This record gives sequence, structure tokens and C-alpha cells, in this order.
Amino acid sequence: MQNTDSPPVFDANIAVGDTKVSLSPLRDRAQLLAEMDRHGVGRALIYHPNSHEPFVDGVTDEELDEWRNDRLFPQWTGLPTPISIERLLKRHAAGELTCVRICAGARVYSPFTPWLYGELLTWLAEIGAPAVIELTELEPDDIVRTLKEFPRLRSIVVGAHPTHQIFVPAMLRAVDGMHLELSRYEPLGGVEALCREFGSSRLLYGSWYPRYAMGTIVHFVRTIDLSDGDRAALLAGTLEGLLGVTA
Amino acid sequence: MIIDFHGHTGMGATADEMLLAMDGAGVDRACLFNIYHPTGIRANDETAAFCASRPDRFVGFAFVSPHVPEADITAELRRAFDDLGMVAIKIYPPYVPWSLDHERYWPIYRFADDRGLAVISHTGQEWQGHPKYLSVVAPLFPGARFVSGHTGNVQPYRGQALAAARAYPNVYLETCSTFRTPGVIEELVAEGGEDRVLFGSDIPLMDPRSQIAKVLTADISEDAKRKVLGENAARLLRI
Repeated sequence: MQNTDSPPVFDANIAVGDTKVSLSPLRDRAQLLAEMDRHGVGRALIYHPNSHEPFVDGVTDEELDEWRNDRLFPQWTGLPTPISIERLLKRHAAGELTCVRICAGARVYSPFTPWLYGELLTWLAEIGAPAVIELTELEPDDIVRTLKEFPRLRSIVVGAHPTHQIFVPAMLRAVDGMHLELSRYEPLGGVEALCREFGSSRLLYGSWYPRYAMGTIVHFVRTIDLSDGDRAALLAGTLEGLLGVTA
Repeated sequence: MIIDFHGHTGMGATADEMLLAMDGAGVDRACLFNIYHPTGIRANDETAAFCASRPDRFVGFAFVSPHVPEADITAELRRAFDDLGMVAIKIYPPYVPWSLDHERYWPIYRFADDRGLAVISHTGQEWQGHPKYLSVVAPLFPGARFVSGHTGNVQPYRGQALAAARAYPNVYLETCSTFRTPGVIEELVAEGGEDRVLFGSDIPLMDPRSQIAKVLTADISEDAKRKVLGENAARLLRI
């Protein structure tokens, strides 16, 4: 059931749909909404993990149309290809584009460099749509060097792990427009330390469900040592601001 | 009482930093060990000194590597338990070229067997620490209590740990992991048994407030949560 004592929760990182190698435990929207209700999560950004495969070129994003509603916001796939960019332009023209999950790295045979992703990132900066970037797919140096070339771009880095705690603060210092999703970031006192240095407006909750259990990190953010304002920002406000949506 | 069965010294965190997070998580006592010094001497001295700063909150586990000759292993374990007050043993197979069922480990297991002690081993993807080896050593040393640290982390290794726990009453499953597969706590309780699952966080590598959330938000009974969070550990460690 919805936890009415908690600030609203907006999950930045949920995968829906099967991949080529595994069936998702999530079979339909009702199942996802029930799990969100169980943990008091009101809204979520959803993406399709199979779109992050070479040669699929984002076409499985069309499945997201079957999932999205007033609680589930699609996160479209972005590759540096004419097909992908054309698809994103159409979504934008239809008023359906809130953010784009960048496909880059060895898995899609595409180095994350300005000479390859520049057109896409420039356009996202122009329209004010955040670029979501998986730290698990890329070298941190490639992320920093590339994003620094696009100072107006707002980005959300997902998947930082406790073993990344040495360089994560330096990444946030190096790229002003970078925001950190917290699904795996659990070094001792690490979230409070980031909040003190960078402010809650650079941090946001995500579960990366169903790769990871949904309730763990939302419970964590609800209980760590933050002001009410910072907690509300992490749980929903930062993402609302990035997407330009209201509670 | 909530007991965190898996924590480290020697990783730079201060006692105050750990206590702040423990208090936030509601953890009463954290079990700590140092895995960076193979002879165990420096490791166990550091752990003992750390635990002595708050003996009401920290519990020391002894560490020694099978790199060390048998006589020195036994001598260091005697010192750690009889002089330093350690209450269990930690081993870390990925640091050595032998799997955890190798005879090089047997002096450690014999010591635990003789004294009825818990031995927590890192278990996971690394070949030295595959949990299937617990099914080899558990029946050889029935007086020892083997704890599968991280419960193998991911499949198929988690399945190996569960199989060992089902087959042998002296095998336990510990929860800390950065892999937070949905339903994993429920699976450990259902298949391993609620009396055999131990909450651990890996403090300070990971924050106990996030690791305990895995248990608190799991779809298991309140009775099972109490056992996982502390009762099982208290019984195992006799504290």
C-alpha cells in the first residue's frame, strides 16, 4: 500500500520487457504497479533493456507504448544512428519525449565520444531533455570527457556501485550538469556525503527494478540522515525538475 | 537485538562513522574482521583494538590465511580466541590459490570443529570460493558452523549455497551483497530455512542502512525477520 507518511516517490530506473537472453519477471503493467504500490512508489521512468542491444536500434522501445500511463513515463533509447534520431524526433514532435537513455559502449560497438554522439547530445541539450547514461556500460573517463563537451546538457548517471566511491564525487565535480541515480550507491555514509557537497538537486532515487529489489533503496533514502527537503528531492523532486513534470 | 554478521576493519572507516550508520540501521552489534594480513597477527591485533573501542557494539572475528603453515595457523587462532577474545573465524578464499575445501584450510576447520565455532567464508563467483565446496567440508567438520558469506552473490552460486544449507545442518547463509535480486531474502528463508539466514552488511564497504532494508522490505514473516536480523547470529555466536 502507498505509504502516506512518506514524500512522493518517483523511481528513475525501472526496466520493462524481456531481453534476448532472459524473461523479465515483470509480465505486465498491473504487476509493476502492484510492486510500486507495495513500496509506496507513485511514478517511475521505464526503459526497455532489449533496446540496448546491437542492431536492435531502439525498435523494442515501441513496447513501452503498451506499458506507459499516467504513472509510468517512457525513457526512450538513444543511439547515434539516423533511425534512432528520427524516432526520437517523432516522439519529441508528439510531445512524448521526456528523457533518453543513451546506448553506448562495447555492447553496442559504439564508443561514447563527441564525434559519434555529438549530434544526439547537442539536440538533447537544445530541447532540455536529460540523457541517461549507464556507468556499468562505459568507462568513467569517456563519460566525463564527452559530457564536458556539452555543458548545457543535463545527464543522469545510473548504476554507480560502492566500489566507484573514489571517483563518483570527482565525476560530479567535473561535469556540472551531471546527476547521480542511487540504485546501487551504498558506501557507508556515501549518499549524505554527496548531498552535503553537491546538494540534493544532483541526486535522485532509482531502484533499477527488476534487476534489483525495489524496496531496498527507497527504504534506505527514507531513513538516512537527510533534511526533509533533501529527502523529498531525492525521492521525487530532482527527477520532476529534470523531466519538467509536476507532482 | 540486531546483529550485523559481516563487517570489516582496516578499510579506513572510523568507529564513529560505523556507529552512526549502525545506529541509523538499528544495528546493536557488528561483527568485524580484517582480511588484509595473511599471518593474521596484524589483522587480528587491529580488529581487537578496533573492537575494544566499543566492546558493547563490536564483535571480533579472527582471520588467518592458509598461506601460513599449519602450526602457525593453530597458534594464531589460539591467540585470537584465548587472548584477544574473538568469537568466530573469517576466511577469504579469493586471496589464495586453493578452493575453500582444500586441505590447506583444514587446520582452520579443525580448530572450529573442536571448539564449535562459526567460520564465515567469502563465497561467490571466484572459483576458490564457490559455495559448492561447503558441501564437501560441512560433513567433514560437523562441529564447525560454516557461513556462506554473500550466499554466493548470484546464481548459480546462490543455488550451491542453498543446496549446502539444505543438505547439512551446520551451513548458514549470510545476506550482504551488492546484488539485490528481487525475492532473494524470501528465497533464502524459504529454501534455506529461517533459522539459517544471517543478516550482514559488509560495513563499511556498504552501508548497513541499505543492506538491512533488504530484510525489512522482504515479504517474510516478522518472526523470520527477527531471526534473520539477530536471533540466529546470537545463537550461533553465543552472545
